[in-house]
Amino acid sequence: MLTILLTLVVACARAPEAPPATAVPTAAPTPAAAAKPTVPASAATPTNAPAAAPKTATTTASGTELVIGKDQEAPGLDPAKNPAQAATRVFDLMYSRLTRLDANMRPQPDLAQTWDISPDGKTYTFHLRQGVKFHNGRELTSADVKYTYERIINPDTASIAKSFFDPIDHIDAPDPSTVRIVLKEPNTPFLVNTAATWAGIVAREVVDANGGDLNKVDAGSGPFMLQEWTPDTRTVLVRNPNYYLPGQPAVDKITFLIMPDENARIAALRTGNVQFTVLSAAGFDTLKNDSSVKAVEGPTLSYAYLGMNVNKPPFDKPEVRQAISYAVDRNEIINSVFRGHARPTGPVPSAMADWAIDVSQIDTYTPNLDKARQLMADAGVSNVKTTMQAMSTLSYQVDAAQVIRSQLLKIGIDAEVQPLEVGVYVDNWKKKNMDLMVGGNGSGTNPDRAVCFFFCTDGSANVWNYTNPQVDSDGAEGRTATDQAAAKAVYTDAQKQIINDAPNLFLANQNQFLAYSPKLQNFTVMPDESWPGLITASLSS
Amino acid sequence: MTQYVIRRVLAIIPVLFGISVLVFGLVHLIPGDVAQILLGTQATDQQLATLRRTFGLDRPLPIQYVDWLSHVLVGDFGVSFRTDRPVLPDLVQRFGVTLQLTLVSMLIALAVAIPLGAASAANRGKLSDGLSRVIALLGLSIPNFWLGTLLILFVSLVLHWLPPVGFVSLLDNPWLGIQTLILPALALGTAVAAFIMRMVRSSLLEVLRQDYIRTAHAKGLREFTVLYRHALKNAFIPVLTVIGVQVGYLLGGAVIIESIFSLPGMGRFLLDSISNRDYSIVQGGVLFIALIFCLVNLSVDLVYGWLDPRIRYE
Repeated sequence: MLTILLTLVVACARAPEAPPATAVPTAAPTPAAAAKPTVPASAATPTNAPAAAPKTATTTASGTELVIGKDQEAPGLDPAKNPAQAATRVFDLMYSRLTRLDANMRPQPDLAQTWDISPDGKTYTFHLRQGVKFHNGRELTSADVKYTYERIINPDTASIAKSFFDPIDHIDAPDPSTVRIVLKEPNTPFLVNTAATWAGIVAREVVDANGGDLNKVDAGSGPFMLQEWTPDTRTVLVRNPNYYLPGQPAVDKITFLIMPDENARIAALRTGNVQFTVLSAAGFDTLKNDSSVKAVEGPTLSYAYLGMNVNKPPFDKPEVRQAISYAVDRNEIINSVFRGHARPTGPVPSAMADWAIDVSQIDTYTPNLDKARQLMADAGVSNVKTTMQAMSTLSYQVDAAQVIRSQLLKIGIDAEVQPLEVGVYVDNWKKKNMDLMVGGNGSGTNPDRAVCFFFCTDGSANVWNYTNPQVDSDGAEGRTATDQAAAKAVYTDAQKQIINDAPNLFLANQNQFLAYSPKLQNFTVMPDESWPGLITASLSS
Repeated sequence: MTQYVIRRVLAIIPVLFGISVLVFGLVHLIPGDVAQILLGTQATDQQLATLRRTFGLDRPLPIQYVDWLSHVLVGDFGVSFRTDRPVLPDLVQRFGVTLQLTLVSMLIALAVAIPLGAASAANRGKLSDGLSRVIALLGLSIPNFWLGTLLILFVSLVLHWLPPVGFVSLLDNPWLGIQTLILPALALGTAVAAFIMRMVRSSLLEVLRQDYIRTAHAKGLREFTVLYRHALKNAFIPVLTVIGVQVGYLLGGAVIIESIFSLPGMGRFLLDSISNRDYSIVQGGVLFIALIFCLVNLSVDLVYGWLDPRIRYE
């Protein structure tokens, strides 16, 4: 038995081995079948050195290293296929797109230096930067842009970004530095969507060499290159020496360590084992008075909501939904569940500055139990016994459900809180058979998603059986508007309709929390919770 | 004896078979659509159908089971739905981490429990006995995750003696590796030590009452010799049972400790896979742990024979 144990120990107890990083060798890219991890010629330090635990100096032999404590592992790194933030935060740094969003969520040049939009709003002509190289050394041209978008639209790729680019009719690449994308009809979110991490431009030969799947390899041209990915342990990115923006990136190496437990991340930050990490509200409150770390708070594009199944009595009566809106005290939820680190919102959070409406004066947001009870009486509804589901692993959802339950009891609605495991929750969500459901939405980077994806009759996330022809027509008009002012007008109307009809109550738009070493400079917080600030951030010593 | 071993090993097979049916059935009974969880709430029905077809999830359950089992019998545990990586190499690798943690935890536990238990038994009724028993009670009562967090706080943050989190394999770098393993091993080993210590104590007390112990004293042997050379060996069989159970339990992975200390072990691996409905990993993982547990039990039974020559195997 001891022999068996010893054999097992010898055979299997190595620190997890790194899969080969294929895109980095400067010769033609090698397929993923290489047996030993290759040390990329241009990268900094050897891959297998287990540098995880000890207090490392942040300067390695060849430059600065930023160690980040990440809460979740990415399932894969293929930009077209991975929606999870845990993944996008990593490949956001590996792939360039046509445009990039600034902190106000407006598209700025990235691979495309300039662009023209035809007067009818259907033709976008992008003029690409010259001399951009993929990580495997090949020059990036318009053909690559065309290939990438066609790959996303191709149903066989099963890309999660497909619906963003379905409006594309065809793509031309008249010369290596010009891409012309022609849409079937004008599409307001299109330019913002070209900045999505999922629209990262990929090198075709790497896709082909890996059977169409980029989950474990690097086919990008962005500021960082993938050096090593050991799932559930460590992801290492190194600086792209050929990156086209001078002075960027400012650090030579980023190492993501996976640390699910927040207390452990905080401890690691304080001891200097990591220099950057993500926190919850509680963690932020712990660290904000600690002068050895910098704790920052910023808005997000996500909000918590109370969803109501518009087909199920008594929630089919608009008076009942409005009564619920008057009974739910959003400020109480903001203070107790989010510890004050959130704000009231509509379907479009205020961080989407160009599109959000002001919700500070909305009548149905002001708690009014008398009005609520009156509305319930008018609807002839009393003594309601119902259920309210929430995802058990997200404490803010369960906590909010408890608070809402106590608020609804005051108007005669007894909603039993049901914390559900994620698979069951998603199942119920999809089946549209819930009564009440607490949840969270990422409203996205553009109003079409925030409004129509969730609340148009055929919106993929409209699981509330809600239908309002006015909202549908606002959505359709807004999506194809060629004029910003016209689009704003219809989206404003749509938001007001949705708040009035109340298929969802918008409870709070919560903040995000990050903490990092005071040595980290030039980091900007992005409302979409991605970390492109790591490209400009520098580590002083 | 060889016959006994062979028979025991063969007896593992029906056990594993039964477990395979159980775990396959249970995992597929959990509500929640794999495809939906993997692709997220924005997947189209067509994408979901494609995924189901790729992984054969649209076939009847018995056929899926037979297909999976026939692959397992030739060593192919399939691939993860989420990451496309083959299951067995990852399982073995994660198990290696858990194995190292278990070994260090057991070493610490035994190093504390045996001397403490023996001293306690030998000094029964005295102050040292009472103190040891209180310590054992504390060890049993303190939740290991709380202890783990406390250890990180004091040892890493305040004293800066050891790194708070992370894992380095003992085989890659023994010095660094032991540093990363001490704190989690302490957190885990405390309860185990308490268990074992009490067993050592009570079992030794039984043995110390025997006549041959009195004879040994009468012969003039030192207390230490009596205790460690004569009494302990005979007292060890019930202790060994407890050790076997604890080892088996630890080898299944300590999810919370692994999360707190960021150790890429079996516990976290399986828990994440259950949440993700990653059937291949859950099925393969549970089968793997069952096999290990059976082997541990077998080893414990064999060691009985070495400890007590009176035990015969037929």
